[in-house]
Amino acid sequence: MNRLKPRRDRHWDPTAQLEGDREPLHLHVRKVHRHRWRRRAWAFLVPLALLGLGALAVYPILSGRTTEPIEARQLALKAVEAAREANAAHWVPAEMAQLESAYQTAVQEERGQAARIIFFRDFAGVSAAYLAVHKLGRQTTEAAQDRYAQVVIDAQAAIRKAEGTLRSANHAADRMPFPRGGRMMLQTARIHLSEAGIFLDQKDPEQAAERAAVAMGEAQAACRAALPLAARFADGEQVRTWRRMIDETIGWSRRAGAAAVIVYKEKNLLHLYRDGKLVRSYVADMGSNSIAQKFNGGDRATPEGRYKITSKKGHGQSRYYKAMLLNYPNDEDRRRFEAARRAGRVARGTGLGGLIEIHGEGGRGEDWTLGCVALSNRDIDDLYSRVDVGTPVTIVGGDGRGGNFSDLMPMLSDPDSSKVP
Amino acid sequence: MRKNLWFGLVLVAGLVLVAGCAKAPQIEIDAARAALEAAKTAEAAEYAPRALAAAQDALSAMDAELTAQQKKFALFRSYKNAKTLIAAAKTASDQAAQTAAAEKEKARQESTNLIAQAKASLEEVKAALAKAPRGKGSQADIKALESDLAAAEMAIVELDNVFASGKFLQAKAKANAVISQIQNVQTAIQAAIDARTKARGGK
Repeated sequence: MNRLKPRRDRHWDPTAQLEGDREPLHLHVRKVHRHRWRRRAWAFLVPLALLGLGALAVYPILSGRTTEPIEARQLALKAVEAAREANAAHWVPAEMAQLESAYQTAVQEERGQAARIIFFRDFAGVSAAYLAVHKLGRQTTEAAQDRYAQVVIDAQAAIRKAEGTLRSANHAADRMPFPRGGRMMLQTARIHLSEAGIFLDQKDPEQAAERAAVAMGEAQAACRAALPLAARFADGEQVRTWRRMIDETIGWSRRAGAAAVIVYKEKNLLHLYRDGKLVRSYVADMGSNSIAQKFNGGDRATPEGRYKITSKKGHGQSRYYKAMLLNYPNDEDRRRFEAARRAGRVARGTGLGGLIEIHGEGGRGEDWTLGCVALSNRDIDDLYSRVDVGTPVTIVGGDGRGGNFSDLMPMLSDPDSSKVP
Repeated sequence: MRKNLWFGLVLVAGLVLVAGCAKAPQIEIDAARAALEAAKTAEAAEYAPRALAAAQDALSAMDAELTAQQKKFALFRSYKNAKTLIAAAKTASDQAAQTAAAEKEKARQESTNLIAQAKASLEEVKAALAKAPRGKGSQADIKALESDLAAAEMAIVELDNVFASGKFLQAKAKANAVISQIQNVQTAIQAAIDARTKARGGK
C-alpha cells in the first residue's frame, strides 16, 4: 500500500517514501505542509481557548460582581434599625412597612444570588437594592422623627392649654367655694394633668395629649358647675334688687339724719352712712360660703337683707373682741325658710341659725367666718363708737359694679381664654 | 432488558435524592413562628420592643433563606444554613418573650408598690384631715380638701381598674400622679390648720 506512515513516527522521512510510491511528489509535499500547519494551529488555538475560558471564569470575580455586598447590607440594616429605634412602625406605619418590605426583598435577592455558582453570581443589583433601602431608611427615620416631634409639640400645646384652663379654675376655686362635684372634678383634672406630664416625660406624647385633653374637659366642667353660684352676682334683676335696697337705705339715712350700714359681700366692704353721705368704708371678711345667700344655720353664708343692730357687746363680752348682733333671721328670712320647708327642700333637723354679728378679729383678707361680718379690731372700735342699737344694716351681694364673684364670671364662662398668670 | 433496568435504577435514585433534599424543617419553622407569636402575646411590643424587633429580624432572615432555598431546583436545596437561622429566630423570639415577661413583672411590681403607697398616703392624709380642727378659718378649706381627697379616692379606684386590666405602665403613671396630688392635699391640710390657729371659736 502506498500509504504514508503514521504521523506519530518521529523518525519518519518523507523522501524515503518516494520509492515505489505512485503519488506525485508535489502532492506529497503539500500534504506534509498541511500537516505541519495543522499542528501549529492546534498548538496556538488550544492555549488561546483555554486562556479565553480562564478569562471568562475570572472576569466575574475580578469585576467584583460576585463579591457579597457586606458594606451596603450593613448600611441598609443600620438604616432599618435607626427607623425601628425611631419607632417608625408607630409614627409612620406605611413608610416603615415599605422599608421593611424593601429590606426583605434585598435580603432575599442576596440569598438567591449567594445560592448560585460563583461564576453566575451578580450582587450588583443587590447592592443597589441595599443602598436604596439605606436611603429609604433615612427618609423613614426622618419622617418618624418629624411626626414624633410634631406629636410632642401638639402634646405640649395640649398640656399648656389644659394648664391655662386649670389655672383659671384653680384661681376661681381659690376665690369662691366650688360645689363638691365641681371641686372633685377640679382635683381629678389636676391628677390627669399630672399624668399628662409624666407620660410626656416617658416619651409617650399621645397618652400625654389624651390625658391633657381629659384634664381640660374636667377643669371646664368644674367651672361650669361653679358658674350658677357666681351668676347670681351678674344677674340683672338681682342686682336691681340690691341697688334698690342700697338706695332705700341711703335715702332713709338722709331722711332720718342717722347712721346706716351697708355691707357689700362680693366687695368685702362695709360702708357707714350718716345723713345719706358715706362717712367711712371698712374692709370686711364674710362667711366662707358668702357666695350663697344664707338659707340655714351652718351653711357658712352671710345673709342678705335688711337687718338692724339688736345689741352691742363690748370688749370682753364677745369672743371676737367687740360685736354688734344683728336681728337675723328677720321676718323675710323666716318666710323664705318656711316656704322652702313646706316645699320639702329643707333637711330634717335643719334650722335657720342665728347669732349673726358684725365683730372684730377680722381684716384678714379672706372670707373665713361662719356667716358673720368681721372687721379688724381697730375698725370695729371705730364703727362701734359710731352706731347704736337700732342702726339699720343692709347686706347685699353687690351693686353690679364688679366684685369678687361677678369678676369671676368671664373666667368661669370661658376658662380656656382667661389669662391667669 | 439491561437498558430498562439501568433506567429504573437511575429513576429510583433520582426520586430518593429529590425526596431527601427538598424537605424543609417544618416542625422547627413552626416552632420559631409560634415563639414569635408567644412573644407578641407576652406584650413584647410594649415591654420589650427592641427584643421583639430583633426576633422579627431573625424570623425575616429565616424566611429569606427558606425562600431562597425553595427557589432552587429540588436536588440543589440545602437547609443547613436555614436550620441555623431557624434556631436563631426561635432563640430571639424566646428571648423577647422572656424579656417582655420580666419587664412586665417589673412594671407590675413597681405599680403594685406605688398603688400601695398611694393608698397608704390617702389613709394617712384622711386621718390627718379628720383630726384637723374645724371652725372659723379652716372649715371651708377642710370641706374643699375633703372633696379633693374624695377625688383622689376615686382616682385610686380607677387606678385599681387600670392595674387589673394589666396596663402596668399606665398604672405607674397614674399612681405617681395620685401620690403627687395627695401630697398636695397634705400640704394644704397643714396650711388650713395653720390658718385655723389664727382664728378662734365658731358659730
